[in-house]
Amino acid sequence: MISRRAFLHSAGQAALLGAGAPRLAAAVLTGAAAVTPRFDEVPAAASGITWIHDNARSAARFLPESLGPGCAFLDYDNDGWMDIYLVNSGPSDFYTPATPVRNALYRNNRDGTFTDVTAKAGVSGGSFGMGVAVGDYNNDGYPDLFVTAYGRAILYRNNGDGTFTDVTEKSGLATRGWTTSAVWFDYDNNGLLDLFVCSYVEYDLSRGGLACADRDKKDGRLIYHYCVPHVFKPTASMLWRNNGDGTFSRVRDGLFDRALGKALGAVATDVNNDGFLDLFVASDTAQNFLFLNLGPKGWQENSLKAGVAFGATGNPRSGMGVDAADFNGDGFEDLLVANIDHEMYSLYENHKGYFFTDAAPDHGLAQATRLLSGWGAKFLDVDNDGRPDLLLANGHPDDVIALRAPEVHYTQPLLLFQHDGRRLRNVSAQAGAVFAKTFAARGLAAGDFDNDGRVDALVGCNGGAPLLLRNTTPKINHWAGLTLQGRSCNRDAIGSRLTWSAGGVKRSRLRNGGGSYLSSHDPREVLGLGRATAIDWLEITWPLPSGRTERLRNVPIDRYVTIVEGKGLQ
Amino acid sequence: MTRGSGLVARGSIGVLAGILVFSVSCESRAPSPESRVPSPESGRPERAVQMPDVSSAAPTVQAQLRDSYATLQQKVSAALPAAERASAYGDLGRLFLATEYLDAAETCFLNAQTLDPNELRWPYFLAHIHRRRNEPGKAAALFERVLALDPNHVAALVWLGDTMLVEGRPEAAETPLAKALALAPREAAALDRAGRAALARRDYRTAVKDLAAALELQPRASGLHYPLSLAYRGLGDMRNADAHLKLRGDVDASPGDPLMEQVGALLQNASAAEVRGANALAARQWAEAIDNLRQAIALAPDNAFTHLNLGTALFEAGDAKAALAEFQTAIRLSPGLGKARYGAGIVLESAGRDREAIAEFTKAVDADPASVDARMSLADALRRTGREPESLPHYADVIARSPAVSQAAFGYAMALVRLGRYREARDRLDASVKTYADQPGFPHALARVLAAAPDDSVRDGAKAMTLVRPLLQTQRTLELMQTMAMAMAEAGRFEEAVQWQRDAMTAATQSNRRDLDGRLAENLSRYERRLACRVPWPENDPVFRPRPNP
Repeated sequence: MISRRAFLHSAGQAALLGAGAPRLAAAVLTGAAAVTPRFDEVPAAASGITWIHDNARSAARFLPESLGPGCAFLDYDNDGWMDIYLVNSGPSDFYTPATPVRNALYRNNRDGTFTDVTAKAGVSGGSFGMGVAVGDYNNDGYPDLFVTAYGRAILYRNNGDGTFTDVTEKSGLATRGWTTSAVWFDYDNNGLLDLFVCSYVEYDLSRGGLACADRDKKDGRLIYHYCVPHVFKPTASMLWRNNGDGTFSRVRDGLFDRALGKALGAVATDVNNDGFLDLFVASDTAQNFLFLNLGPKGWQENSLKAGVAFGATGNPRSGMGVDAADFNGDGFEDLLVANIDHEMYSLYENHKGYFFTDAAPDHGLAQATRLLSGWGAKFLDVDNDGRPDLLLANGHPDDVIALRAPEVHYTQPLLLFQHDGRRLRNVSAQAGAVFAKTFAARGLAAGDFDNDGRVDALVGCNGGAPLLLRNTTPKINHWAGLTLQGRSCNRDAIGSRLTWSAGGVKRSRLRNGGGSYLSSHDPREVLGLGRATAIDWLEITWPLPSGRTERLRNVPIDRYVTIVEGKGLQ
Repeated sequence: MTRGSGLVARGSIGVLAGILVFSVSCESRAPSPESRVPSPESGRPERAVQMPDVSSAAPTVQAQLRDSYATLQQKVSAALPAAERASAYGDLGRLFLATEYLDAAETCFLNAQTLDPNELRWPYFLAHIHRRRNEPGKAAALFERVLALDPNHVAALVWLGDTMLVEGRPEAAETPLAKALALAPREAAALDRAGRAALARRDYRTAVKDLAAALELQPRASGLHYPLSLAYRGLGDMRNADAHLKLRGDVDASPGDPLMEQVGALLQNASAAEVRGANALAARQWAEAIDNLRQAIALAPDNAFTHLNLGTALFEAGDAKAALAEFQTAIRLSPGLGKARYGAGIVLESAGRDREAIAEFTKAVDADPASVDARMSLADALRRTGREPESLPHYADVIARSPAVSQAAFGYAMALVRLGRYREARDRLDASVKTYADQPGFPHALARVLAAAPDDSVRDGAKAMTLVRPLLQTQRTLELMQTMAMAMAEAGRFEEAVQWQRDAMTAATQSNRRDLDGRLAENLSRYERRLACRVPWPENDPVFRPRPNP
C-alpha cells in the first residue's frame, strides 16, 4: 500500500508535470531553456580601465560636448582576445584641454584585466573625437580604425606589429566638419571594405550664435543648455569607395550629396535580400534614410516609401542609434532606431523588403522608452537561445533637461529586452544591479571579452568612465563561436549569411556592418544553440564577389573556431 | 497646390498652441446626479495663487492679468460661496492658461476643483496643462475624471484617445475613440486618431476608412496623408500609398473643443487677434479672418506678418485691390518677406499684369530660394509670357526640391516643346508618365509629341496610340480625340484618323468651340490627303499659357 506521503508526493509531481510535461521535457531536452539574462558591471579596479571621457563641458554648452563617446571591441593584435578602444574629445575651436586628452587602446590581458597600450600603438587621436569604426580595409588580417570627430577624422592603419599609422591624408579620407557614426561594408561587392561616414550638422563657431539658453523664471538669469539640433542646417553624409591601393574616393552619384540629414547612426544590412548591402541611417530632427543598394544601377533612397523616414505622424524624430536583425525569424532584416524622449523608439518589422511597420508597441518597447533617449542599440543573443535580444544605452543629451521637462532625466537606465520566442520582453529589472543605475550613456559595443561564449557589452558614458558589462547569464545554453575569414570576398566577411541547425531547430543570421552608435563590435559570430549539444550543420553563404555557399558539419561547440572561405574549419 | 496655403504665415505667436477649429458643439453640461464624483482634492484647503512674473508679456496682457488677479483676491477675501470662488479661480486660471503661465494656471484650477468638484471644466483644463507639459499619464487620468462627470463629452474622449496614442497604447485608445465616433460620427479628429490606432494594430482596412473619412472632413489636415500612405501600403495599394506620400504635411486634424477655444479668445492683444485671424484663414472663413486681422493691425500696425495674412484673406474674399495694398505694406515693413512679394505677384498676375508679377515673384524667390510656390509661379509666368528659356531653371529647381509638384515637370516639358526641343520633351514626359502614374496629363502630352512632333526621330505613332487608348476609356474629350487622330495618321491608318477627327469636330460643335474650327478642319484635310499632322499644338494653345492658379 502506498504511503499517504508518497501518494501526495507523486500527485504533486504529476500536477507539476501535468499537461505541460511533454512540452517541458521537449524544451529541456532540445530547445532553448528559459533563462533570465544578466549583466554585471566590471569595476575599473578589476578591469584596469581607468580612462575617463572628457566631455569638455562648458558654461556655453557647445553641442559637440554632448554627443560622445563611442567605443569598440577589436582584436588589434590577433591573439584571439577582444581588446578595447575608447574615443575621447580633444582640442577644437571651442576647447583647449587643460591637460592632454587622448583616446585609449586597452589590450586584453586574458584574465579579465586590460593594459593601456595607447601610446605604444600610436592611436591617441588628437581632435574632438566622436566614434570609431573598425574594419580590415586592406584585407591584411589586421583590423584598422576610422575615428570620427568634430574636426579632423583619422584613419589608423594597423601595421600588424602592435602599432598603427595615421594614414588619413594619404588615404583621401581627410574629412572635416562633424562626423559621427561610420560603417565599413563592401557596397560594390568587389571584395574590399568601403566606408560610409555619417555627417551631422553645420556647426561653425566662426559664424557665432551657437548658444541656446532659457531665462530662469525666478531670478531671470540665463540658463544655457545644449541646442536642439533643428536650429542647425543638415549636411550630406559620405560614401567612400575603397580603391584597393590604400586610398578612397568619394562616391559622387548625386544621391548622397542631395540627401541632406543630421546623421548619427548607421547600419549596413540587406533589407531586400538581393545580395547588396543597403544602408539605414538615423537622422536627428530630420528624415531617416534607407539607401537601397541597386548594385550596378547605383543607389536609391527609399525611406519614405518604406515607412522608416518619420514617426507615425509623418514628422521627423531625433533618430540616434540604429541596428538591424531578423528579430521575427522570417528571413528579412528588421530595423531598430532609438529616438529622444517623448518620441519612443521604433522597431521596424520588414515586410519582405517592400516596406516596414513599427512593431515597437507590440513588444512594450515604445512604452518603455517614452521618456528615454537612446544612443547605443544592439541586437545580441544574450542567453544563447538562438534568438536576438536587445540591449539599449540611454541618456538625455542635455544635462539641464529637467529644468524644462521635470519628467525627463539626464542620466537614464540601460534597457535589456529578451526574446522569448514570440516577442521581446523587458527584463531589465531582473537582469542585474547595473540596470537599476542611471548613466549618461552613449556608445554601445557588443563583444565577448572573456571568451566564454556569452557576449558582453561596453558602454561609453559622456563625461565619465566607460561601463564594462560582463554577461553572467547562467550557462545553460550552448553556443558556437565563429571567426569568418573571407578570401575572395572582403576578409571580414561582412555581408555573409549564416544558417545553422541545432537540435533540429534552424536559424539564420546576416552578418551586418556597423550598427549601434559611434561604436564597433566584436567581429566574431556567436551562434546560440539552446540546449542542443551539437550543430547539425552550418551553412555559410559568403558575400559577393564570392557568393560561394559552403555547408559544414562537425562544427565544434562551446568554443571559438576560424572558418576560412573555401577551406573550412581551421 | 493652392496659393492660399502658401500665404498663411503664423509669425511669432505666443499663445496657446492648442487653439482648435470649431467643428462640433460640445458645451460643458451640468453633470447628472449619478455622475457626481468626489474630487480627490475635496476638503483640501485652497492653495495661495502667486502672481507670476509677467514682465515679458505684452502690456495689454499684463494689465489684463493684473486686473484679473486683483479681482480674484477681492472675491476670495470676500468669503463668497464655494461655487463663486471656484468660478473666480477658474477665470484667472483660464487667463493664465491662455498666456502659458502653466504653474499658476494649475494652482487656480486645483483650487477651483476643490471648491466645485462636480464642474468638469476644471479637470478638463488641468488635463490640457499636463498635455502641454508632456505628461500624458496625468492628462489621461484627468480626462477620465471629466468623463466620469460627463461620459458623453466628445472632446474629452478624443483627447483621451490621443493621449493614449502618445503613450504608445493604441489598443487602449480604441475604446474612447469608438465612443467619440458613436456620439459624433463626423468628428474628424476622432476619425484621425481611430485611424492611427487601427494602423498601429495593422488593421489597414479600418485605418484607410477612418483616415480617409477624416481627410474628407478636413481636407487641409495634411498630416493625415502620411499615416494614410502607410495604411494603403499595408493593403498593398502602392499607387494610393505613393500619392498620399507626396501630399504629406504637418497640419493635424483638430477636434472641436469649445472650452479651449474660449480660452484662446480671452486675450485682448494683437497676438491673440492674429491667431484668431490665422485660424479663420486656415478654415477659409474670410470675413472672420479679415475682422480679426484688422483688429490685430489696429493693436500692432507694424507687424508685417499680420498685413500678409490680411492681404491673403482679402484676396480670397475677392478684394484684390485691398489685398495688394496689404501686401505692399507688408513689403514696406519687411522688404525681405518673400511671402508678401509672392502675394503681391499673385494679385498682379490675376489682374493680367504679368510683367509686374514676374518682378515680384523674382524678388520672392530671391528672398526665399526654397519657396516652391513662388518659384513655380515665376516659372509659369515666364512661360506664359513667352520667356520659356528663363522658365526652365526654375521648373528644374522646383522638381529637385519638391518632386511631388507635378506641374513643374509638366511645365518644363511644355517649355521644351515650345522651344522645339522635342526629343528632350519626349524623354521628360516619358519619365513623368512613370513618376506621376496617376496623372493622365502626362501620357496625353507624350502621345501628342509622339504622334505629331516635327522631329522624325521622335515620332512613334504606335506608342502614341497605346498611350491614348486607355485614356479614352475613362474620358472621351475633344483633346483626346484629336490626339488619337494624330496618332492614327502617324501610324498610317488615315481612314481611322479621319473618323476620329470628324468625331472631334462634332464634339467641338456640340461644345460651341468655334475657335477650333480652323485647326480641326486643317488637320482633317491633311488626313484625307493621307498626310500626318506635324504640329502637336498650335502656337496659341492654352497648354503654352499656364493660367494663374485660382
